Amino acid sequence: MHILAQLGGYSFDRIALAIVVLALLASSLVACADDLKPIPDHIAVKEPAIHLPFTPVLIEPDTPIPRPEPPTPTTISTIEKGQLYVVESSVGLISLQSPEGFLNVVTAKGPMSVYGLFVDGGKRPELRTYKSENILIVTGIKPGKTELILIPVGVTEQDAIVRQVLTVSGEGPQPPPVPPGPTPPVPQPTVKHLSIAVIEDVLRITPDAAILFASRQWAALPDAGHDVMRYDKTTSEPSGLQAIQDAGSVTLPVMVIRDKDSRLILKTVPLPKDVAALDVLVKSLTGG
Amino acid sequence: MADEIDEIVDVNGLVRRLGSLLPPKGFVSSMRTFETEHPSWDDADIKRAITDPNRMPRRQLFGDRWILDQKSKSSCNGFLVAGILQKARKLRGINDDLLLSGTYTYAFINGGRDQGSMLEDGLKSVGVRGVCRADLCTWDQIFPNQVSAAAKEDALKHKGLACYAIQTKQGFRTALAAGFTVGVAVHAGSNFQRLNANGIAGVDRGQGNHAVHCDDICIVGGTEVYDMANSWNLQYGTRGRAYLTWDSFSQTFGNHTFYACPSTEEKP
Repeated sequence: MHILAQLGGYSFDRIALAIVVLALLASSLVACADDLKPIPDHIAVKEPAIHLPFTPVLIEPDTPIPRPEPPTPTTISTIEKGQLYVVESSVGLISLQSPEGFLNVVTAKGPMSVYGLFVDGGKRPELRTYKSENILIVTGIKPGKTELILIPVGVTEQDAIVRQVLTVSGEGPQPPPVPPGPTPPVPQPTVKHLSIAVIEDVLRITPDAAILFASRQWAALPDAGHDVMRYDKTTSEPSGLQAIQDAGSVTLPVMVIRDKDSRLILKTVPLPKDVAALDVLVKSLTGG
Repeated sequence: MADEIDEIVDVNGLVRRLGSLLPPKGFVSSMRTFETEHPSWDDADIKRAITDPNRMPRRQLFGDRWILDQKSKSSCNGFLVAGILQKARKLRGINDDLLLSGTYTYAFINGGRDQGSMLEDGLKSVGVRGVCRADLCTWDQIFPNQVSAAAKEDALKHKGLACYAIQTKQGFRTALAAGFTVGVAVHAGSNFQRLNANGIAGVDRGQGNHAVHCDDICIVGGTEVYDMANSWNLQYGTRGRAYLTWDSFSQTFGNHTFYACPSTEEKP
C-alpha cells in the first residue's frame, strides 16, 4: 500500500479523497437522470380509435411479396346510392352531418356481420364482419355534398373529432354485366318483418293521418310481426331520437323503415296517405 | 266528511263512491289549452275521420282486459289517469298490454283521506311520480304509506303524459277524432247506469261527480256519441262501457276541465 501510495507522487489520503469525490459525482448524475422529462416519441404511431373506410383495402399477405411501393391508402369521399360506408370505432361516437339530410347514420354494437355493397368493395354484395365495439353504417339519402362529423363520447380534445366530407352521388352502383344466356329470375325481397318508426307532430295531426292510425290495417301490422312505434317530434326517448336522426330533414310525419332482423334502414318515406298506399309500401318491402 | 262524496249502488249492489271534486271557483288550468296547440277540425273533417270504413272501433281494440275497477274507493281520478296512460302507450305502438294502477296516483292526491280528488292534480302527479304497474299498488292501497318502494321505482318508468286542457266542444270532438283519449267528468246518478238499446247511457243532471275517460267518437243510430270506458268493472253498461251524448257533458263541461292526452314518454 505504501509503495502504491507513493506512485505518481500522490499520497494515499489524496487518492482516497478522489475516490469519494468521484462516488458523489456518480450518484448526483443518477439523480439528475431521474429528473429528466420524457422526450416525445414522434416516431411511434398510436392505433387510431376511429377507422374510416379507405381504398384500396390493404391485406397483409401470409408471405411477404416484394413490392417497390405499397399503394397509399386514400380515404373514400363518395358514396353511391345503395352503398354502405361503414365506420368502426373503439369508442362510442356521436355523429352529425352538415348540412343535414344527405346521410342516414345507423349506430350498432359490434361485432356484427353486414351484407351489402360497400364503398370500399367491389360491384357485388359481400358479407363482412366488423369486430369493433361501435359501428356506424352510413348510407346516402339524396345527391349532394355534406360533412360527416364523428365526435367520440367524452371527447376532451378537438383533435379527437373526425371530419370527413362525403359526396352522395346521384346514381346507384352499376349492376354487373349480364352474362349471355337466359335472363336470371328477378330476386324477391328478402325482408320478412319491418320495424317502422313514425315521427310526427302530435299537435298537427291531420285527418288523413288520424284515419290511417285508427285503421284496422294499421292495427294489424303488429299481428303480422312488424314493429310499429310512433314518436312525437319532441320525444326524448333514445330510440325516438335515433329515428329522428335517421329521418333527417324530412317533412313530418315521416316513417323510418328498417329490416326488423338486421336493423338496416330500408326506406325513409312520408307517412302513406291512406291504407291502400300503406299496403303497397309494406308489400313492396316484404314481398307480400 | 263522508257526506261530501256522492255514493251510488251499482247493478251488483256494490257502493260506488263518486270522487271527482269540483275545482275551486275561479280555477284556471295550468296546462296549455288544446285549441291553441292543435287546430280544431271542421265538421266535415271530423265526420270523414269517424265514418271511415276502415276505422277500428276503440272498444274493439281495447277489449275487456282494459276495463279497470276502482271498487269501493273514491279513486276515479286515479283510474282515469291510469286508463288514459295505458291506452296512450298502446296507441303509440307499445304492445306489452301493460295495465297501470289507478290507486297509485290517487294515493298522492287525496290528502290522506278517501274523499275524492281533482283531476288536474292527478295529471300533474303523473309528470312528477309516474304511474306503476297495477299489481304493485292494488285497489285498496290508497294512502302513501301503503305504497311500496318497488311501486315507486316502477312508476318512474311511466311518467310522461302530454296533456292539454280542452276549452271547446269542437276541441273535444277534434281530440277524439284525432285518436287521443280524453279525460272527462260526468254526473253519475241512476240514469248513468241505464243504457238504451243503442248502448247510450242516460243523463243525470248535476255539476259532475265522477271522472272517466272517452277513447272514441262515432255515430250510433244517427247520433254522434263518445265512447266512455268506466272504472266499475265489466258489469257496468256494455262490458264496462257506455256511449255518452254531449248532453252528459252539457253541465259538467263548464264546471270541470276536460283534458286531451295525445302522447307518452317512456323511461328505459
